[in-house]
Amino acid sequence: MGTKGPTGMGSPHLSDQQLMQLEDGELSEREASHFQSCPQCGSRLRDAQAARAAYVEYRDAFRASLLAPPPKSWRTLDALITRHEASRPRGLHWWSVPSLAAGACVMLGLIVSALVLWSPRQTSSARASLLLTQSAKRVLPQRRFISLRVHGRTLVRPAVLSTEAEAEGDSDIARLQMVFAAAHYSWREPLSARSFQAWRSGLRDKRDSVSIIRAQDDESYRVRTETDSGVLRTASLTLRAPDLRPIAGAFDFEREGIVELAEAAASNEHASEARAQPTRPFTAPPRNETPAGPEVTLHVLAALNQIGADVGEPVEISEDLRHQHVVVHAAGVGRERQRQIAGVLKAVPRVMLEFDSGRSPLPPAKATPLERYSASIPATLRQQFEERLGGSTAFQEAIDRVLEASASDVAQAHALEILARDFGPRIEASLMAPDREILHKLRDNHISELERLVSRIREDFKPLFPGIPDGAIAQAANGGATASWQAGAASLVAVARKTDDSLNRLLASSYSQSSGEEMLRTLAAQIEQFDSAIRSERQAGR
Amino acid sequence: MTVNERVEEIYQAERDNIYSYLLYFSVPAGRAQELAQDAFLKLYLKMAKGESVENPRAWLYKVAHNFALRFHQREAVFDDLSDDFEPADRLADPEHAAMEHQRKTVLLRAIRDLSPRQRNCLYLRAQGLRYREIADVIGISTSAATEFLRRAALRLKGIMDGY
Repeated sequence: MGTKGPTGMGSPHLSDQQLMQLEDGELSEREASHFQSCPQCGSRLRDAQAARAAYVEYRDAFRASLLAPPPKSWRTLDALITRHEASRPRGLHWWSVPSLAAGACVMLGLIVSALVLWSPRQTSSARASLLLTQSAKRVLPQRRFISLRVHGRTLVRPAVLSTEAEAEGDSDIARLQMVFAAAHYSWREPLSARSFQAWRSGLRDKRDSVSIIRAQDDESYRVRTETDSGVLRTASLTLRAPDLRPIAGAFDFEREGIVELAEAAASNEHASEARAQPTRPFTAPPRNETPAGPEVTLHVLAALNQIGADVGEPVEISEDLRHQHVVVHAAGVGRERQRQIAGVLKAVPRVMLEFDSGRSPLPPAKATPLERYSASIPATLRQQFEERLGGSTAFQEAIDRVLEASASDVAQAHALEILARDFGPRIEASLMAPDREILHKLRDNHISELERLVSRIREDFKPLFPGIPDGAIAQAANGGATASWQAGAASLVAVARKTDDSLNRLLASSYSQSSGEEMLRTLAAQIEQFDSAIRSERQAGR
Repeated sequence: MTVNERVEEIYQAERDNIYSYLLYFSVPAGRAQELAQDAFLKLYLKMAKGESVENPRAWLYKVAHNFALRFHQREAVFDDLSDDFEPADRLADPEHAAMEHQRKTVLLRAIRDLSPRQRNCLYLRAQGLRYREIADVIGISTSAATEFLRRAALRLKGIMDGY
């Protein structure tokens, strides 16, 4: 029989945990035998099952209709593994020795290429047609951008213009539009196999060639067509090998020179504005520029910090594959917030902005009803709390403020941890003095915010901790200064989480009066410990 | 069965479930799909190294749970459903439809009134996870998981009785 009953008082009935074990088939035969003859335990099990059934109904009948379907088709497991293998840093395994790995990849690529393209029976013209036809069948993402390099300028525009007229507004662009029109080449969608094929098939005379291009792990095909008729003398289109997506093009116009096109990520100027102003020039750096240094990330963080977007928001910061840009990816943020983010990042060079256009699958979060929290507190303890805080309404309001402050604390501590991780002592030392100052300002902002929030929690709950002298525990816990502020950030997150857990347990779990008092003492100690950790962190940064 | 075949089988069976789990944490759809795929890749890499995974389903939920927390850079709220959402009526008979609507509204309110942790535990229980696995996925003690489930059942019973 169960040693501990449902109330924890040695009842002869199965405990809740034992009931779970019974359902999960983990209960011993002897313990389970009680269940056969106990209507009370049977009823409790049915309640648990009914709750589950109700939840299943909610999940399937209501909730499922609100869930967005996967936006893309699922990748195969093999594709996931291949992508992973291609992206991971090479070690010393035989399969990743560059010459062998490259050999294996090249062999595989060559086999496919040879079968499809390099059959002796295929002429260059037939190969070009085959590639262009296959590529034209691909459905390309709607929000693509392309960069155009002409006369030393780089311009960015949507890959597909909604009308030809949208190209007006810039003299270079207007001229390009005329040149493309004169060549009977689509200006509306220049980086496309369909447009290339349409131009090519209209030529009276042409010479095609197809070549394979390999750069690091990427492989692509280049279709090149030359002609003596028309103003466009030579054009080439580069198709990415795995999916034949057009990624670059070069157009040699008579008397105009070469116009280069390349697929571009949504830029900071264009991600949100490109549709409205498709031809605004964008001075993206050339592809072979030096890698973006940590100072770019720092400037991005500082810019986001101005509008509070560096803490607790779904904004991710990473580098592009070529390490030339810092990519800021914001998912599920509203249009207004997108504008704000784009606005503060406008002045930061070498930033690419990506806004996930997919709407958040759920409606915006609403405030949690307060009653949910305090309902589970034992009556006597609750009464004490209410008396000390000035009534039930004041108590509810204090709970609301404290829980909100605690959640923000965790987010702030986490942001500080990320800053410490990305700007370790060595990187910090390598920064120029003004950038180091920005880093320290960011760090100090996080620390100040943590101090403010902890102080709010302490103030709100102070009347609940009458037996604990102000700052006594903090003094006891103080003295554990860390070697650097970076080293202290991780422990700060741990303390923030612990405090948040304790608060949630105290305000949302069920427990006895004596456990509640013990939890309160623990919480008081943790708040002081948290405060002490923040002060140590500030000291370490001096 | 090779590791690849085994993971492929699990991938086919569970990817939509893991994806949905991430959506419940308000991870946007595109990111949720990427993270779900990453979870299966992690599983494959773990198993390919010869490490055993006792219950791959529970392990995947745990990875997805951690992804969701990391995505939000803070404690993510499970199934934060708007108060505006109303159940749809599909019944032709008006009287029956009215009763059904009332029952559904009560059910919806009852679920909404559970704490996020209670909903999270109940969701995983409804997905067929054992209570020990639920505790492991969420990162709480088994007794806490039991308590969340007990309180959820009690609360639902109190509200749903009579409907």
